[in-house]
Amino acid sequence: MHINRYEKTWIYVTGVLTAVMVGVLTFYAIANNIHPPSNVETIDSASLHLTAEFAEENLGVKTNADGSVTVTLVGARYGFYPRRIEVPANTPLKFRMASFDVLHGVHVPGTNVATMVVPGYVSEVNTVIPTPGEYTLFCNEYCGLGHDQMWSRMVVVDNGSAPQ
Amino acid sequence: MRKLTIPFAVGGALLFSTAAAEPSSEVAWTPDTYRFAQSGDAANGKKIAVEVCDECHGAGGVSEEDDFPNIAGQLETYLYKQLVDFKSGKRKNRKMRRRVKDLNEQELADLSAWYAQLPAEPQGPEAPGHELVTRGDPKRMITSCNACHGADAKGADLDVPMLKGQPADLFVEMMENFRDGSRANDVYGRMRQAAEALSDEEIEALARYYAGLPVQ
Repeated sequence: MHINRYEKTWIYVTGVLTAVMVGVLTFYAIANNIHPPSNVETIDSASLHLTAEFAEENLGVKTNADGSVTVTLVGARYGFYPRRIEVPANTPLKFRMASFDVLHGVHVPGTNVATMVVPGYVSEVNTVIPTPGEYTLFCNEYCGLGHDQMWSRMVVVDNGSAPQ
Repeated sequence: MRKLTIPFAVGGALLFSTAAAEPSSEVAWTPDTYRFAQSGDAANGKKIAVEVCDECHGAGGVSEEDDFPNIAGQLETYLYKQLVDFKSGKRKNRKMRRRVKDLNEQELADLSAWYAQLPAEPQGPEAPGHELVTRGDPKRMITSCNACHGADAKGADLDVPMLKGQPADLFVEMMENFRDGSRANDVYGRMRQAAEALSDEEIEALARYYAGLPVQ
């Protein structure tokens, strides 16, 4: 089969570019330990409020025995509950989130917290936030008429611990 | 006598904390519950209504007094959840509890079916709308009313009520109940939180707006 010289050159160029880009992504994914949240755990979203972990009074921030912090959140139209949480900076945080109704997504600009909150599953994100300040939890999966108003507040407080 | 005070106080506090730790509603909208709540027999509901409900809520689900909510045309699934919550005490109201405690779940579903198909009536003169209805106030974390209750305030599946057809005073009372927590059967406090964020003037304006909305 005859392929024109110029055509052949461009095929090589695109091939090389693709290989370089995949290489860059792979390198940084491995070097920075970036990976999608991979927890697979099922839960009945309809009766979420009747479970122990996601009962209304058990939501929020809890400090574990080893000093790490677990944040339990429920995504429900239209907010992440509790609507305001306070977490320490430079401390391992584990977010455990579940949806009470439809598909939600949580995205916290300025941090690497971003995951889908799928009905029927518990989403988990582990992170450390080094910079104290006010952060916003946005819903980034269209979930209904109030989607654009679905947000909650996270305050990261400096507790004096060293950067990790 | 005095020595007993502390154990009693501790016991009381423990009792209270267990009570507070309960879920805000026992109703879980599983597909089975959803189907059941919509399967009521309106004809049987009417029979029960004559004996149990009409006295306060009126023969057609529209009360003659402003103290009682109008339930004609209200969402079937919403009515069912409220009735179950009254029965279980999750929504605290002695009058209602006394009347529903001997009814079984099928009878509650029948009542819901009966009232859901009755026509609602506007309860006041038309009043201007409010920015909170359509836009909410994101800075105060107030979602617009329409987002949940629908653009026509008709309510939405599963347990978001229709807001039209209620006397303005009753709307205000409901919001105050949410605000002070005496009504707390909204799962995850979604209405409690909205009510806490609203000012008295805003609640008043919303009450007049919804009371004056045409129902058809």
